Amino acid sequence: MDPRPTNLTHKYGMSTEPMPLEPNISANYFEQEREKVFTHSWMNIGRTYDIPNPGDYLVKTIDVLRTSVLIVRGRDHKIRAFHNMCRHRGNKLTAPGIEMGSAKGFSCAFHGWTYDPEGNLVVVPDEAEFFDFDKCDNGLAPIECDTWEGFIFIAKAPKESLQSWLGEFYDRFEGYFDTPDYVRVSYYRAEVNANWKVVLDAFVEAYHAPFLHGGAYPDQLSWEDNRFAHLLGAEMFERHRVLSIEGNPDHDPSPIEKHLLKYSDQVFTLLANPEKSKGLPKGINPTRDDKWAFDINVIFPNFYIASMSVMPLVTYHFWPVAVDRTVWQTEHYMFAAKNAGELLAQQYSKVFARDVQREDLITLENTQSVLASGAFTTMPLSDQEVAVRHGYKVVEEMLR
Amino acid sequence: MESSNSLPPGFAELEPFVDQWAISTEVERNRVRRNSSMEEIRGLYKAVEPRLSDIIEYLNEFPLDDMPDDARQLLRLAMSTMEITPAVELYRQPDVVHAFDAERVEILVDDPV
Ligand code: FES
Ligand SMILES: [Fe+2]
Repeated sequence: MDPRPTNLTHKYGMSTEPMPLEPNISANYFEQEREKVFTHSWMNIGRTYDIPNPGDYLVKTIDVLRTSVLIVRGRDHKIRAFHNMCRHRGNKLTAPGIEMGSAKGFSCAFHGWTYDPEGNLVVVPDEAEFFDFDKCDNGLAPIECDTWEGFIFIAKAPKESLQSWLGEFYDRFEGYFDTPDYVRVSYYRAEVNANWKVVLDAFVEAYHAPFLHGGAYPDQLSWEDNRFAHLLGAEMFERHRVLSIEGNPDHDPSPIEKHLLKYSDQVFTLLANPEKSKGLPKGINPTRDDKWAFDINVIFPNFYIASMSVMPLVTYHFWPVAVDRTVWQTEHYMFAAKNAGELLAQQYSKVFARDVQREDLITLENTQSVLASGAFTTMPLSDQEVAVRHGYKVVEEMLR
Repeated sequence: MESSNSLPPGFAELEPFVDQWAISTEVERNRVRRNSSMEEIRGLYKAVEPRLSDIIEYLNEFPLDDMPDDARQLLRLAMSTMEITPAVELYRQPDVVHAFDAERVEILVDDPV
């Protein structure tokens, strides 16, 4: 008997009806998502290890919140987040294109108001000309900020703590991701003309793998034992969800892979690695199966962490810009390469993943461009697409 | 274009590939891959693949941040081979068969070698 889980849609109490396309094409629906979902959601904007020292900062444009966020480590080592907007007449404090840096403070390029790394206003040129003015009341506007597993989260108007928001995920990884040893070896980003859920959906099912990625993965995700890349495991939580994906333990390595495997155990295309599927925290390889390739942990609404047998950490972000526009980003983290062999294995892994992701990305605009045609107003979803369905259900409930 | 320092002793047969393929960044390696013919791509693969283990064993003797120029050129050739491997082993054409425009994907971590 197939040990893989079945009847997931029923198990998690969801209807098996086709799902409406309206949420992916309606500007009104998008505005409701902005107000009722994203305004109250905790969202990841980077790693604590990106800003290790006082004065180190990150800048992140968050279109769906209509703002840019400045995340700074203060001289007290605390990480704080602010709207990246000068208290005077609203100029952005960082120059266009700047995404990270280190500073003793932030000086506005317009009239020279200057803020310290804790967000206090410290210099106002010709201050005496202002009326009833006290610098102490005119610091930067803070945004809620907290950290978990080495990830920095912000929220504009949260209704609960980060711990409560993370719910089932909060203690599932036991610090597995909270280490400076995971080095960001790749960061790919693209702005695509598609709704954020269309983009996310393309990365939360394996049903497409044998077809869309049939050329890239000749035998790893689909083979005689699992032709349709059925899920190894799936859990739907209140808002979040987890999928476990199976890999072929008998993958036949290519000539280049054979060389690389002699010098590195981080070769991306060797998806199942029984050696590396044991002794992990309860949230990593939750099925405890030897054929485990990776888990997709979707942290609602727009962030996901993939932990792989061959790579400790992969992240994806789906940043809504407009109803039909999304910034997609993905980052791979590996142990620092100690020599050329490990560096080459990393590069092979990066290139392979990047090429496959371009296959995923091409479906998005092709889909979005005809979704509003009226030809169909719903999409039938299989049991293997349970995480796609769950995503719509969670949003729908929050809009109610 | 990269300077064409010669390669370390023992790797002279790879010299003809240096001008086109000794490239220090992923952005540039990907661009050259997409703008090369399958003949050029297969040429590099066929020359480097049988020697990849020798190349790695030679290069592993040096720290990554302190490599002699000739070893660094060899590393760049090997890095380009990583870039073109999917073209040869999987797609059988220079670029991914059915894919999103490569120029629209920003490559934001790309430490030069
Ligand atoms: S807007 Fe910043 S100093 Fe005037
Ligand atoms: Fe995919």
